[in-house]
Amino acid sequence: MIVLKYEKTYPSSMVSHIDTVRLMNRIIRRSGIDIAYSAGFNPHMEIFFSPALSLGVESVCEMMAIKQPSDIEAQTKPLSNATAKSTIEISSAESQIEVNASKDCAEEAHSILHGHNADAINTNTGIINDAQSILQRLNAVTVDGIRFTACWIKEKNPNFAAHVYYASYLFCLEGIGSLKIDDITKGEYFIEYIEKGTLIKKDISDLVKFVEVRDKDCIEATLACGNKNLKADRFICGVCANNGINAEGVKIVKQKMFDEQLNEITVALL
Amino acid sequence: MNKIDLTKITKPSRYVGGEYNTPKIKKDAKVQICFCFPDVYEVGMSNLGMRILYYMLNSLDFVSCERCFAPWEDYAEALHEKDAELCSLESGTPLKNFDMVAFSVQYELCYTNVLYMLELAKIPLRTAERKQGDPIVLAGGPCSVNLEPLADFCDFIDIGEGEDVLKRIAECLAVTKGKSRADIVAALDQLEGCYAPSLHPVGFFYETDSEGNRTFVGQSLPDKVVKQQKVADMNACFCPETAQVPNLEIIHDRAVVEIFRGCANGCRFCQAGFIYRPVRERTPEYVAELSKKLLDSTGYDEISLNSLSTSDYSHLRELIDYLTPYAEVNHVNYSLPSLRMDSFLGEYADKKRKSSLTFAVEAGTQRLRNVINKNITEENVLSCLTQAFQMGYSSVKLYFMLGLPTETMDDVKAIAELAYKIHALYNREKCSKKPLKLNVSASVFIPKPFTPFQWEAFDSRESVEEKQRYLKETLRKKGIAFNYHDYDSSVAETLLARGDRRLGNVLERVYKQGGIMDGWCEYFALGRYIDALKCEKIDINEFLGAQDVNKVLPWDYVDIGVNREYFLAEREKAYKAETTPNCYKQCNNCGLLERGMCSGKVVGT
Repeated sequence: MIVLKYEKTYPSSMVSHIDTVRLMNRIIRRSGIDIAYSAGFNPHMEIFFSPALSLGVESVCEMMAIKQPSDIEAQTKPLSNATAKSTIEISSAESQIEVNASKDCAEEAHSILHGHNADAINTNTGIINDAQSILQRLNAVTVDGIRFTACWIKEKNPNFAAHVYYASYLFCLEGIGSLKIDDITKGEYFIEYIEKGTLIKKDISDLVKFVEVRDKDCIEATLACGNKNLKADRFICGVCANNGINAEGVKIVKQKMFDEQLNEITVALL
Repeated sequence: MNKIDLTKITKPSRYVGGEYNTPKIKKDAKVQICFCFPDVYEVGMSNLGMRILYYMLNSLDFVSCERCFAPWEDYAEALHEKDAELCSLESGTPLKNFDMVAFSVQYELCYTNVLYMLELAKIPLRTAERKQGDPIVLAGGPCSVNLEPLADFCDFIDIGEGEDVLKRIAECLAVTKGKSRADIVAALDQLEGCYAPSLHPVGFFYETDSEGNRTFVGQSLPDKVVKQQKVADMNACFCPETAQVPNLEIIHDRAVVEIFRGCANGCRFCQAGFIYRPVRERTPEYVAELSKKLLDSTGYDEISLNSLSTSDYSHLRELIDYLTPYAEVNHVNYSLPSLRMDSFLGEYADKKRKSSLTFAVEAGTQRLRNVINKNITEENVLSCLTQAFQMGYSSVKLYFMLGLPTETMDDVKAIAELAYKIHALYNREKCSKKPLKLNVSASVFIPKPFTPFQWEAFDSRESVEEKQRYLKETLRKKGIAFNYHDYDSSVAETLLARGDRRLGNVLERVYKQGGIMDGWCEYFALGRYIDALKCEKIDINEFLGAQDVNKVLPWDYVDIGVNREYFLAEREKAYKAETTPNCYKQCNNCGLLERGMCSGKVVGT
């Protein structure tokens, strides 16, 4: 199982979750990474996502898991580019290495894919770090706003739905630091929003774990994420409305995901 | 860039760009073009013509080509609120800052969207109102064979296939850069395949009776014959080896390759079949190579092999043999739309899942099929379906038209009888317990320019609605689904398809009354067209009724290579229910051969 961490920023933050699934299918195809397909009449790629991100919200901590064909640990098939002829073999011993991709990796990957540096594959030391090569390949064929930042090889499906309970967000807007936030976590707190044409008034106090002003233009909040979910954009629009402030133009960036005990989700945890 | 809050907008990725495989946009290139598609992103990005020409223009080192699609109403409202203007997708440059905005006009009901986009871009609607500094406005695409209704709004029009002519247009723009608008338009007008309507006026003639009532009697033609452009060799012309991959689901969300252009069948109602003559095939090796390159560079898992009549491709089996191993290894589906009924290729059918089969039968009786020259017998239909049902297919779609020339209720009843026969056939031949899903769909016949039926009357509302009611009731008895096309939108389509330059004022009125997105049923209202025609004192029946064969038609100045005499001869044969064999069987002397535009050789031998 390949587990990936990725960023989703503008313009990709404007892509809905269902379109992101499709987008990822294509990125994986272009990268040449081998992936398992489901059985049956309509086979689809076996990819699993962390809880869906609302449209317009950016994130630096999204996660995705890719299942590989079970009889091959992590073999990457040859790229279709004529100059990249050899198969990259992935060592199964390197199973839990976290590698952070930098911009240089993306450039190197680009040159590998386009055949300028085929020797990088055929080194005498033989095998390239598997997680690193996966990141390079993905970042070489990714779209604007999606960037893969970490990769791990794991035995089992990380089951994001079972682990993710909360997420922290930064909300940035001129003057947002003046919002009255103390009462949000101190008992009932109602916000209003429109769903399917109906105005709903809801108590969100049990869905908000933490709210703090970072500076005059930025606040941070930890909200329920996953099976019980409070949409970040709904939260900030509701709170701003309660304070008589217009939330238009607020930039929302998801920072981290947490489990039920509010431990940060790391690969060790999954 | 305009400052619209995209989180409040439906489908914001329509307006954001950043698609994979977007070419590098050269903001310092001498010629800056914005390719405008007068429909929403999902429709425009599905269009193969746009995909080809966008890459072709960007491949020229002195040209930069960006895109713009018709925004949805909420985005347009946001533009008005912010007093902002419509901009290109790639760099957010206002449309009015380009050297040229080129509209690809695919169907008649999008004409008002051209005006919609021009106004949102703050470009004067009419050529007469534009000044130095305003971009040159071009229109092209399939409707260019008769764009007279849009003539007042287009600085110039290019007719035919765009690969070569658009390159010459870009070269002309480079040479005339910095000159006056009048000089640029005059230079573009000189190019083969192009013409500037303002330089070639038409006259309209009326008769006035003793009571002062005016009747339209005819028009003169522009003083120029414009030769429709056709690519000579499909294996040598520009074809992109990659495609942009949208971040949003579009209508045709797959890679597309043309296997050949043109059609030899000569169905008498079909404009595409005539305007894209002659047949020009690609080699199967080239198609296979293009397909693989497209799939590898995009990550698409589906590719469509397009043409007007795929089973006529002379190397179909070879092509399948090239593609099948690749498709299996890479989990890719390839589809062959436009297969004709008389050659159901069972072995090429979808092996994994028996999806629906679609057949365009078009008419219920053999007599009427002979009239329209759709050379298919009922036996063909039933034997193909027998084979399909035995293989496990249980879903069939049939397309028909209502209102065809010489049609009677007997022809309409035969549609229901055929559907009943198919129903009974399924019950005899099926290999599973699944019930048959049979869907009959009937559109309204629209007489189109450059077909033998270009002079025919458009069927009346009473007649069409009676036929639709009959089929609905009769088919429902056997649980057969029946869909039919809205009569109102077909009226507007006929009006514009056979329209002349007088309709420019009508279009502007329709647009000003809120007529946008007329191709979308939730927006279209025939009433706007009726009101506009009344204000302009134009009788709609001039366009809907049968046309006098001795009269000048507004599109007679366009030369597509097929003679008017050929269309007249085919029309005569139609009335006698006589068929014409396809070009593979014999050359029927349509005019292309004598002009050297067709080799006259049977393709594939």
